[in-house]
Amino acid sequence: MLEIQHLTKIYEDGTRAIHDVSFTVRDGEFVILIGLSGSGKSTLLRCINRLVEPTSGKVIWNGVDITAASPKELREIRRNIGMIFQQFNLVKRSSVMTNVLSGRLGYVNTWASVLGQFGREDRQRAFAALERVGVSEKAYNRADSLSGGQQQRVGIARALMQSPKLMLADEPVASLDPATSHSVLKYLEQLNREDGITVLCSLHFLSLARRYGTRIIALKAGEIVFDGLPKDIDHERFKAIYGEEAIEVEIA
Amino acid sequence: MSEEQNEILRRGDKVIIARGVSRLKVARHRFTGLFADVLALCYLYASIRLLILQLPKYKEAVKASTGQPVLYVPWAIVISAAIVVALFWGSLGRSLGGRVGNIEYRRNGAKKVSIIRRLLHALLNAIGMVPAYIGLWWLHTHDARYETWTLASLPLLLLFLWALVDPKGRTLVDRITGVEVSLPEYKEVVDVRVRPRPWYTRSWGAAVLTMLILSYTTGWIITKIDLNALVRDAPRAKPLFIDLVTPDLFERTPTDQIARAKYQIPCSGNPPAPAQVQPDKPSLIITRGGTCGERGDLIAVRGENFAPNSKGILFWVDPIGMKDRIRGIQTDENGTFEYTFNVPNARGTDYEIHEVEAAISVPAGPWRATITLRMVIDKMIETIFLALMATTLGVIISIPISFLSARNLMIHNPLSATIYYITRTIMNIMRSIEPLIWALIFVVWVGIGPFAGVLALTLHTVAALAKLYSEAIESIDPGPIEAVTATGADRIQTIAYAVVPQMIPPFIAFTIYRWDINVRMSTVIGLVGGGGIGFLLIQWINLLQYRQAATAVWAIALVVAIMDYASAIVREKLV
Repeated sequence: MLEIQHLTKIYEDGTRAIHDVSFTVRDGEFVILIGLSGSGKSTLLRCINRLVEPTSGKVIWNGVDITAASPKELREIRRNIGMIFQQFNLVKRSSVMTNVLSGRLGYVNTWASVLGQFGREDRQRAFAALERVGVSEKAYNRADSLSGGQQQRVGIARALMQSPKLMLADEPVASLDPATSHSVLKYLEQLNREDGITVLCSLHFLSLARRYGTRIIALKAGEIVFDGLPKDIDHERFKAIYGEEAIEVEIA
Repeated sequence: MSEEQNEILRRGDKVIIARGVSRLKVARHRFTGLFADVLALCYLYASIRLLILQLPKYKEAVKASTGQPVLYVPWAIVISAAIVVALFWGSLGRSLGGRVGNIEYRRNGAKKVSIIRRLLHALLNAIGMVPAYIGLWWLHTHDARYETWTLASLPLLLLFLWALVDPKGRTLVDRITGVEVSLPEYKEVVDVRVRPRPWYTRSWGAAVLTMLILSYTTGWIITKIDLNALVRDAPRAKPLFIDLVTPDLFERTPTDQIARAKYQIPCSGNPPAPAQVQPDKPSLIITRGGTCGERGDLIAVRGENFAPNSKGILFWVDPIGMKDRIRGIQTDENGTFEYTFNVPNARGTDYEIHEVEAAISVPAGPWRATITLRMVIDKMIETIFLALMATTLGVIISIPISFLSARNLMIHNPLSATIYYITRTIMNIMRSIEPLIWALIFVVWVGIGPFAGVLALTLHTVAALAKLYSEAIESIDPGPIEAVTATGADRIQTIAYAVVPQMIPPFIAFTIYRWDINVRMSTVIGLVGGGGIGFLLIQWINLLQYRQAATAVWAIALVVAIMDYASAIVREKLV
């Protein structure tokens, strides 16, 4: 169970990204975060694994206060939380295999990993993860030789290497075409259903949110304006989230 | 929408687009503006003076003068006058400084300033400078310039002190005339239908134009550009060009054509038979004085069938075979020569047989590299290794330094930020000193030779690469760092997996680029004794051996071109 309590983040330049956000995610949920650009979705996700230090408030996960964790504890918490990104954030020049193996860094000895020494078991696990997302034949290609959709699936494989219990996805399909978007989200859905991984995913398209989410949380100017089931977002609520002039577009 | 915003704005009106402008900032902008104006005016004055001094009348005066400068105005007076003119300029319109400092005067409440107010503003400013005028007069009568400086700068200081006290950054004069200063935070509204006046009709534009014209005129004079000499004296360079296109590369081994004629001292009853001319074989015969005689007798020899137009030596060979040079000889186009000389005072007992030998040297042997070429190749190898050592050492040293001077890694806490600034400063200073100057220092330190060159180039390489590398570190994509951190990796792992792979291509590119530069630099570092081919080059130039120098020049050109080409290929393949 993930509890977010009164979370606030004010950046150094005075920007108030999120303000007093509280909600609870039960294990196994597929929560979609929606909202306009700049509404605080990315900041919220990054506060959970403390890529961004929250200004105040708490993040409690299975009884452990992440916001109070020491650097060492934080690393141990982080390795149980997978994360994928809008820009995939792969090391472009490294091979797909190296990128996937880097997901295992939290588990292995520092110096062995610096020398590129991963155990046979880790390599098999990496192959299995790549097989699962269907890009195993590209294992020894350079990451930037892959298409956008393939790169994002490598991103998922990297997160899978962590054996995560929670998956954070920061607009994972915003750089992809509609068809590829669906395939990537289907992999996330599969992980959620088959492995019971809790997913917290921010999206732009409400149609995708309705299709994949079990619950939707909407942010506006850093505050929660909706928290409920996908079917409950009607025309009025849509306007409240996206503004008067917004028109809902369907994504096939 | 408010009433105010609906009002039609005209060109020249100001709209506040940002707030929170501090008085310190206004004062700073004003000072920058005034400083730029004063600088520009002083520059105009200095270049005009220089041009006037070029007039024949003053040129004579400069030549005749002993110590006392011609047309001299004390700098204190020039600068004070410039300040006064700058104040007028700034008040009456958009001055160059107004442009540079991004300031403009406007009426309180964003209106344009009328010409009357501008005049008043300028006049009051001028009156504020009265102590400066007094100071100048005092200077004129007492010739004590430093006190005048104080006096001249006082009113200005007061002017700006006041601007610091006023909440809107206005000076006393501004307040009296009801003018304030607008900064770039207030954006001018431009009516698109009105074509703005072209820049050169504005006072600042005209000033810039004048400064440019004056700069190029004085530049032409100072650098003594003489197109006439370029055309007229071109033939002088002809032998040099000939040497340049015929470098000293290969030669044929010379072989000697030798012929001898016998001579007895003194004559006995049985003198040697005169030598005969043998067809198609170099032959030497004595044509006058016979084949025997006394020391000091005048004899003549004639050579035939030698190589035409060649040089050689005529020897006297005594009975035990010791050779003495008589004179140099040269064959004509038929391969013959004839010389007259006195029999030398050669050693030998009576009635012994001496010989006259003619040795004509002809380049007929196999081709081989000249000594010049061999020296050049030798030094070129030294040069390339010099560049290699300097680049390698430079890379090794600059990598840790580049981390210390990468903003994104160092700026987080005060201690590392201090290290960052110190490193950057040292590197900037080191980089701005040319390798040739470093070489001079190291030549004194470790002695003439390639080691001094290695040290000099290493130092410059470190300074240059540390900057390039640190910029590469600063510009890496933070995304992968974020992603790897999120997997629970520690700092070392993050650097190994997210930072280092991103740094490799720029590191390789910059290293090759530097290696390229170092080869180039190492060819000239020898000019000051830092080893390498430059050392030979400067020697040959000083000895006026331009053919040899040309060999070195071509070798440098060849090696640099090859390096250039090779590094381009390597860079393409690796990056």
